[in-house]
Amino acid sequence: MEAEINCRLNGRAVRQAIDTRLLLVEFIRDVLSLKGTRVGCLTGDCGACTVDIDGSVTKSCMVLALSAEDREVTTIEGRTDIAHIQEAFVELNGFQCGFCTTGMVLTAAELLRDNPNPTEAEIRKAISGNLCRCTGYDAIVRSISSVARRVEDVRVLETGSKPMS
Amino acid sequence: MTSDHTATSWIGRSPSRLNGIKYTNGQVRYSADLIPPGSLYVALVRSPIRRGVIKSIAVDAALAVEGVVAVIDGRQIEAVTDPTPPAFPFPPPYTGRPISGRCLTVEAVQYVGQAVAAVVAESQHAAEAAADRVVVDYEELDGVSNGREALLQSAAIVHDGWSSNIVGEDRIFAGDAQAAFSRADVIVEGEIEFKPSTAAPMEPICFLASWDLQHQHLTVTGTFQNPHTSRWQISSALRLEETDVRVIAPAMGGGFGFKMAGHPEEVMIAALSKMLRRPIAYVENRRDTFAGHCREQTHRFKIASTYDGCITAFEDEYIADVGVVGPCNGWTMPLVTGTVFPTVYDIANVAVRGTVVATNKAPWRPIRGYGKEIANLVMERAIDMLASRLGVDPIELRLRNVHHTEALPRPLPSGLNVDSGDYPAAITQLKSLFGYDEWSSRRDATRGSDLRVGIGIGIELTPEGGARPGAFPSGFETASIRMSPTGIVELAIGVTSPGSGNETALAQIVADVLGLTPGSVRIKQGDTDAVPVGTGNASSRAILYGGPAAHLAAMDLRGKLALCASNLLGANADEILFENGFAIAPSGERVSLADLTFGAHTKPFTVAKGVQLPLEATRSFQPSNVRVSPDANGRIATYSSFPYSAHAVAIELDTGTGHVRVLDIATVHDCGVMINPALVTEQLKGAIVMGIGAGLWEELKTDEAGRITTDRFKSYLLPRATDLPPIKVGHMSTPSPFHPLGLKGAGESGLGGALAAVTNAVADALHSDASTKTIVPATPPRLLDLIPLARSV
Repeated sequence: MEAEINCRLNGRAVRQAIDTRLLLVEFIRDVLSLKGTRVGCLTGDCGACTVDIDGSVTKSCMVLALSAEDREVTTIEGRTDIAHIQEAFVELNGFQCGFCTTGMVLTAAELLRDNPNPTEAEIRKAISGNLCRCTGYDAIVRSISSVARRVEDVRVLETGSKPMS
Repeated sequence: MTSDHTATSWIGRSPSRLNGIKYTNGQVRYSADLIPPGSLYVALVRSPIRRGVIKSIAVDAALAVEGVVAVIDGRQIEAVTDPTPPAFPFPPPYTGRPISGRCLTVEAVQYVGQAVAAVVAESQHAAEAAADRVVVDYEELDGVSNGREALLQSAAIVHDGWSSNIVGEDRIFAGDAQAAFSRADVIVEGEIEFKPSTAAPMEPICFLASWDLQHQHLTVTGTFQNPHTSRWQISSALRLEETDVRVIAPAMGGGFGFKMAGHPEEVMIAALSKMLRRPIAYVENRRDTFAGHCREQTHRFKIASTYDGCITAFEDEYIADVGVVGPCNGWTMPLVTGTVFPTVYDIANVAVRGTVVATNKAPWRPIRGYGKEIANLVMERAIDMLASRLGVDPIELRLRNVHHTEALPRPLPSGLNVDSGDYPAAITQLKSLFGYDEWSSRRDATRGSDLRVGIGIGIELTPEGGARPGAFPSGFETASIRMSPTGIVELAIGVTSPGSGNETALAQIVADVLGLTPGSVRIKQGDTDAVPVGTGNASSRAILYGGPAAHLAAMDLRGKLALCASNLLGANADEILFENGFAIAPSGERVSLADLTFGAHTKPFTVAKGVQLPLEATRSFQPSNVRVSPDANGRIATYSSFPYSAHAVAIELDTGTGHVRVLDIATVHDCGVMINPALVTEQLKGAIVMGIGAGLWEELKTDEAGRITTDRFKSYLLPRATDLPPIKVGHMSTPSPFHPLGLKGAGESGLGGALAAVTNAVADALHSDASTKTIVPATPPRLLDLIPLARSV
């Protein structure tokens, strides 16, 4: 059975008839051909399919495509505001094979938006829904932590002093 | 490294990954991202029983599902294929014995999960829905459900044409262990039972086959760790010429051995595409990936020493249950296990007896560690149990018994020739890096508490650069370098990357020789039509073997460029320097490599005078520390290099719940010269965490019928970020005297030592002599059984 979906995806209006059984990750990958969102398990355990829906990271294998009706979905391809996070992952080797990386980066972006200065424990907790089999997580934690420090450094440069905390 | 080693050398520096930003912004394309439009999809009907005869396969209901194109069974595929040849031949006396080489089984099933029929449809959903409607009628037979049973006289024979279930045996001896045990002051005995685990890369298996009817040519794109091996297996099975098949391995989402050649689906997908004349995709679901088990071994060991802790003898007897033997080489891993003993220790009398048996379980999939991790675990557990018996500090006992640096190179009892190392220095460095004395005090202070600290040590010896005669291919790697007319340097090489970043290190080696930046060097891997024959990815060989091949080829190219520059600049060729993209004469006159190569291609009579064009070179590297002539014990040596690492782990055991929390991890690692230390460090950390996972959480479980019950990441527990502390790493470098660049191999090592250290840490927290048996992984239910046996002080 088909139904029409109306949503915004990466800033653009999407209106399309789709199979009602499609998962959001299938809609993104197979219908819209956005391959930066990945399938690692289809049981919501690995986080490779992480996308952002209305500002919250969501595992797109856990929701039907139609549940994105009237919502704003952003995949890694639509994020133009997180180059500093992506560069930090490159600089500090916060990935090896890269399969989990887009999900990690999106999860890191949400954390840093809500908590610009996370502790190591907060970083580990934030990414605990995203599995990585290559790195042992150390370099990922360091990458995220370095973004926080850099943002802090910029603020110090701009204001000439450390903010009160 | 190079003959004119300059201050700008790229060796030992850590530039970030080539094309790194593509990984973080989602532009890297993995196999499943490359399914061509119009492809058909496959779902497999798999056996729900261990062993039986297929009486009938009813496909009508499946064919009635909308979108279904065909249901193909083993008989139909058998008509157009031959059995797939094994990637590794059986060692004598079993050479030539048949394996389970059919991509879809015919007549009988040998294990739960074996593919019986392939449903092909226009969509994955249609294929899966239809697969559920295929009805297979089996006559169930008694199967062999474990390794012990496999050896009974009454056991069913798993493989047709075999006279027993023994896959292979090895007996390794040094000195006279029996006599040494009879004279020993102290003897400690123990047992280790290793439960099955799996590599679980984040990217599942995926194969895409496309048969070109017009050109009678097959292209298979997919998760191939060994593209040339797979090409040979696929072409053999499909009765095609090898050159009629192209195998492409795009970016890979982790390999860890799991994607080594020999999956039945590689051949099946190719055969289906040829039969149905359509491109076909097989994307393995996560549940099916958990059929790829390995590591199930049971060891009984004995270690002897003098009262003052001089180890005099070691004995180990083990059985490995490798399931059914298929075209993949997973079953060879336990044969490697025995060859590593007694690892880094100077023990004169050694006896190892390993028996590898077949059972009615899925074939083993290879895994990082390749059996060596089990040997290191057993050895380190034995050392710790002996230390406990002697009342000697475990570090002290190790320091008393490891080989000293001047004793190397030195052969192991198995014939492998250990190249270099400084084990005492590594252990001493580990002690301070970890804070051993502080952790020991914390451990002592929590002995009787509900939350108990345990600390464990694990030393790992990791034979690398596997070069076993008869394996396809074996023992060499080849690099082909070329410079385009506009000056682009491209290195095509037979080693592949599972996502480890080895292309960056290869580019560093080439850049170093030619005075370029790594970012300006193009690396081509994983395409049998575009790179020389090679092994792909296995045994830390990418830089260990691929590195010197790339170095040799780059040196040859540099020789040609130097001649061209000499023609242009009027200096002697051997005086030309290569720096920052220029060829520079002693006078200071210079020409850019881009201008030089353009000149060589457009003015060959002047610029390239005396130079054999094109500006290309192909060179191979073969290791020197491999010996194929048998020694006095009849043994050959098929590993060239011996990195090692020393690990310490601190854990906290909750005696109320059996839960283990990892508090601290430290490792000192020596892989000789490092090309890119940051990449080596991060690889190592990944291996360490895999070792921790295998030691504490990861276990494949099956029900009584042999069906997997841990079929997702909710029940097969991979380490998560919150399960781990930061990992402290220290590096040492004792270059191999046998390797032209001083390398020993990185990427695989670290797993076995961390596994041993965490296992010893748990035993330390338990603080019990009541059980000499260690079951791995140390899950909470197992620990709850052991906690009441713990000593309170």
